[in-house]
Amino acid sequence: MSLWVDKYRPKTLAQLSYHDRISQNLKALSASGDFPHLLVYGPTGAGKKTRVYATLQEIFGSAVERLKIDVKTFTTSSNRKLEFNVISSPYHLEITPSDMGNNDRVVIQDLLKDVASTEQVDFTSSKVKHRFKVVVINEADCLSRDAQAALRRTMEKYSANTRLILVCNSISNIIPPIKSRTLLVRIPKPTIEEIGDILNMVAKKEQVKFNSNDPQAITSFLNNLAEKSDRNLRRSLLAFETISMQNETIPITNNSGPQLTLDWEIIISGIADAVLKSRSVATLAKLRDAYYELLAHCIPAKIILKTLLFNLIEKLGDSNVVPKLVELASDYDERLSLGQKSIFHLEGFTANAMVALES
Amino acid sequence: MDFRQSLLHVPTEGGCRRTDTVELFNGKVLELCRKPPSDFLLDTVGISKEGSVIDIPQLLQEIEETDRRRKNRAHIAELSKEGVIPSISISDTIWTEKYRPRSYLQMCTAGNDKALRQMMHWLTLFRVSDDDKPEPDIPDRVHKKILLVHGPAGIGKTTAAHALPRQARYNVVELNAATSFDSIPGVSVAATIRLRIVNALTMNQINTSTNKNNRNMMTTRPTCLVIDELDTSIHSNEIVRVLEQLSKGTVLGNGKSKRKFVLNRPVICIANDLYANNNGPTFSSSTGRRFGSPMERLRPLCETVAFKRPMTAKSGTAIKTLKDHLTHIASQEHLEVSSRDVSDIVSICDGDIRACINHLQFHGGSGGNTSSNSSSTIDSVPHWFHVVDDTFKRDPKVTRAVNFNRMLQFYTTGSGRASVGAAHGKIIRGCFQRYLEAVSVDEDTIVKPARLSEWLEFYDCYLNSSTAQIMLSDSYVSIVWLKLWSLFNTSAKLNGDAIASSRTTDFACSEDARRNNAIITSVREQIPLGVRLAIGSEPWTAIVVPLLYQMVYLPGSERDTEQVSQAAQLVTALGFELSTRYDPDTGRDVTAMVPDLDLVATFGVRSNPKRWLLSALARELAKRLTAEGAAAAAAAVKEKTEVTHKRTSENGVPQPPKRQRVEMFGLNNNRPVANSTKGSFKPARTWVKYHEGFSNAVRKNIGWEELWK
Repeated sequence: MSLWVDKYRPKTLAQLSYHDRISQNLKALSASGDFPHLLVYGPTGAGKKTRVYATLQEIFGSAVERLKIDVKTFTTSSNRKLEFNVISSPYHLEITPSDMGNNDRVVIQDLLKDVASTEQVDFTSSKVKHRFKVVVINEADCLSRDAQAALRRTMEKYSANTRLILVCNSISNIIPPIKSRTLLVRIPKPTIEEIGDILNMVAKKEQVKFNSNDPQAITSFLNNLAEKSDRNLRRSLLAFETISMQNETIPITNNSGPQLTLDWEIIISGIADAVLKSRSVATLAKLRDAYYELLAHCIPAKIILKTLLFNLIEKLGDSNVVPKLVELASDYDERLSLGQKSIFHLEGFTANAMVALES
Repeated sequence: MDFRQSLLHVPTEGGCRRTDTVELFNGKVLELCRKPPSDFLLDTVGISKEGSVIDIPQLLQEIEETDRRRKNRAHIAELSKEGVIPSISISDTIWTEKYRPRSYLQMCTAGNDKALRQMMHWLTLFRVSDDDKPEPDIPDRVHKKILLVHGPAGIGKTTAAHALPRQARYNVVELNAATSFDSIPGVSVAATIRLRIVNALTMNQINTSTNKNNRNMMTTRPTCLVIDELDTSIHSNEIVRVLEQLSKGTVLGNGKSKRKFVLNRPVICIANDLYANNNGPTFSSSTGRRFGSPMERLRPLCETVAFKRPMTAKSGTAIKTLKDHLTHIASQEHLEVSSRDVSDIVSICDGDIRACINHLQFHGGSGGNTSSNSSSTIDSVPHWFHVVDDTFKRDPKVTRAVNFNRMLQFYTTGSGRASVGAAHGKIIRGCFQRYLEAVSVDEDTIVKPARLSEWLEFYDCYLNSSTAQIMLSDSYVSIVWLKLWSLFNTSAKLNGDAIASSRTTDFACSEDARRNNAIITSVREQIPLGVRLAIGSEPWTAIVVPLLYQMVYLPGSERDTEQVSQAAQLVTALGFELSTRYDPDTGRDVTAMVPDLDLVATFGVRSNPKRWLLSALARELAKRLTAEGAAAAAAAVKEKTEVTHKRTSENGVPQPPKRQRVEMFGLNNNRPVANSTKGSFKPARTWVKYHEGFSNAVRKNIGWEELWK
């Protein structure tokens, strides 16, 4: 038994259900047996990694699925030992630069050199012999400028026997030289109906019971779930599994959607209420405790800010303060990424939002 | 007082502008003249410039101070006259060593009473029979045989780890980074460490008692191993590996001397940081299995005892005990210190006992003048605490502009600059903790906090960018203070009541965040690779872990066996484990998931309503394991869960399958039989704790009959 996100993950390009044109393009790409460096981007839960793995599968066959975790040791210039995890198969390896902290430049350079200098030896495969190995870099937007600059040269130098696939959420952090050296593939969010279809398929396979047999009602329930999960396929699948674990038969009510709100979301909605209700220093002090609580539970400050803003917007409805709030939030979002003390900026946003609401 | 200072006085020479004649009762006539105003020769001490108010408390304080200084000086003089070496001037030991507590009662608890009791309890539980050489592992011995003491510096961890075992009649052997880990030539570091630890744990110290009554009596004491500074030691990995092997009971030696090692001596590890993850690999390259950072591996092996700063302790007596301790030391050293000095020292040292004592000695050496000003300027820099205080203060007597200039002077050129450079992080945190109060006292407006946020941003963001760091370090940062002052200065006194925000929230928050981060990392790494890939970069804390939590911790009741088995399936599929640990708050064993999802996923006070689920899960998992038929696996379900089963079974919950217990006790049964042939063996009895932590708690002595009933 495994989580549904793992269990129902498409393994091949043929199994992919939406974004057919992208799948076709990828198929055509892999049919040629070779491909340029790729930069796959799009929001979370849209299926980037799934598509990358399906493509690799198409090219190299099922050996790609024989995954194992390796540890690479690395000594930095200051003689510190550094270890990080590499997920690898015989044909590719996958790294996450955030594991390496500040040393990502040296690590990536070294790793790529290492990969490139050992040529792929493959006697078993009956398919076309591939001279190259693929390196998948997750969260490429977290790469430091230095690392990206180091990449651009390496990409060309070792292009004979390595291919890079960069995966990231947004390309705004990627420097132009890298963008120009890669083929950009955007994977947009699936539509609500597409997620609904997938959930429906899973529900049938898992024999999830609903308290109504009306397929219409079920579909609208699942669509609602997809919408609540922000059109994030992964999150909808996780949420759907949670709901079906908790209820033997899932009750479908007409008006309300699935009752699955997380604790921290409730707290943030409480914060939004407090901001709208009373704007005083005492409230600010009370909210500070709430923020500390959230931060102590490792909820990323940016997510707190975003959720709070959306809560405020929703509660304010059609008000002319909204643009001002959005502007403030984007300001403070930048500060969050520049600074380290999240609590300063969260409180700053709250205070400023209060001032904006007062006027 | 000088007579001249009185308004009326007898003129000694002429030149009075206006004279009055007074006829006294004895008929004598006096000429009196009014003293001209310029002749006022008032003693300026204690009278402020405006010349109106006398600051009585300050005067009193000055008197007290001079008095004290005089006494100190007199004392020293007296001592040197008698030819006695004054302890103050020529003490050859530092006081922290001189006054290091030797026993439990001498310890300065400073809010850690509970931790100390816990340690003592653990040590007394750890019975070592010292007459019986090949000691069997007594079934009653503590559950986890290593004690991990952690907490910030200078609050008595090491002292406790030395004093308490000594009191419990152990001989303390300490291993620390300073001396004990030098490698023996020709032997690798890992082997050295192993040798040292094993040696320490197997020997009994034999020492001739120096006691007059029984001069020639030999006393043997079992050793207690204390491993200091574990988290920062560069060999922490090797040490933990050895401890791991020992607690599992590996086979020592080779050939004929081969025997199973039983860890039957207490081991106390000391660390500052429970979640340290500084060096060492977290994966074994050869087996591909994850084993985690040293501290992470050590944690499940140990009972943990947390020491806290007295400032963060909940009880109000914590700081008082520390002050009493300091006063005691001062009186031992014939040093006159006022209670105010003591509390100043405590607040400056932030509750660090060792630092407090050092501080006291430093000032003791200088003749005992520890006024608040001088104690805050050990390195002639105002303490950050005072800087924070000043930021919210305004002198009501002078104009705003003068006040501002004073601040500017202080921060840009004066001694304030150095202080700011040294501790700006602390200052900004202190100011941040207090500014809301300042606003609420003065005028309740949210505009000021809003404006301040820009300046905090300046501080945070620019300090964070590496290029600006050097430039900013001390000259520009103080601008933030000036701004803070200009926004929030108030003549009102802040006492911390107006807005309840405790000083320690920030610290507690970061501490919790670190713990939760450690949990999440272990979730990530324990989860099977496929799931990990499928989840990818989704925010773990916000989405994945709460949902996983909701999947495992199902609503419903115990009778819902289907759900329980579902949850159990999921738990095994995700690679999680259940284990029991001793909870010092309730005095009972609690079952918890490893990694502990609900710590991360639940908010507010943890009432832990899902206890039934955990115990049901534990049963379910145990059943699964026995179903697999592997005896070894059955033993791996922590023996301790058996105890909980036993207890729950007494509370009316259905009995767990009995087969495992038979195997377990069968194992113990062999040993007494083998040993009893020697004749010296006292038959090991099985103790069962019954209702520990409740008022009807008993330690029952039960035999086989009771177990089989």
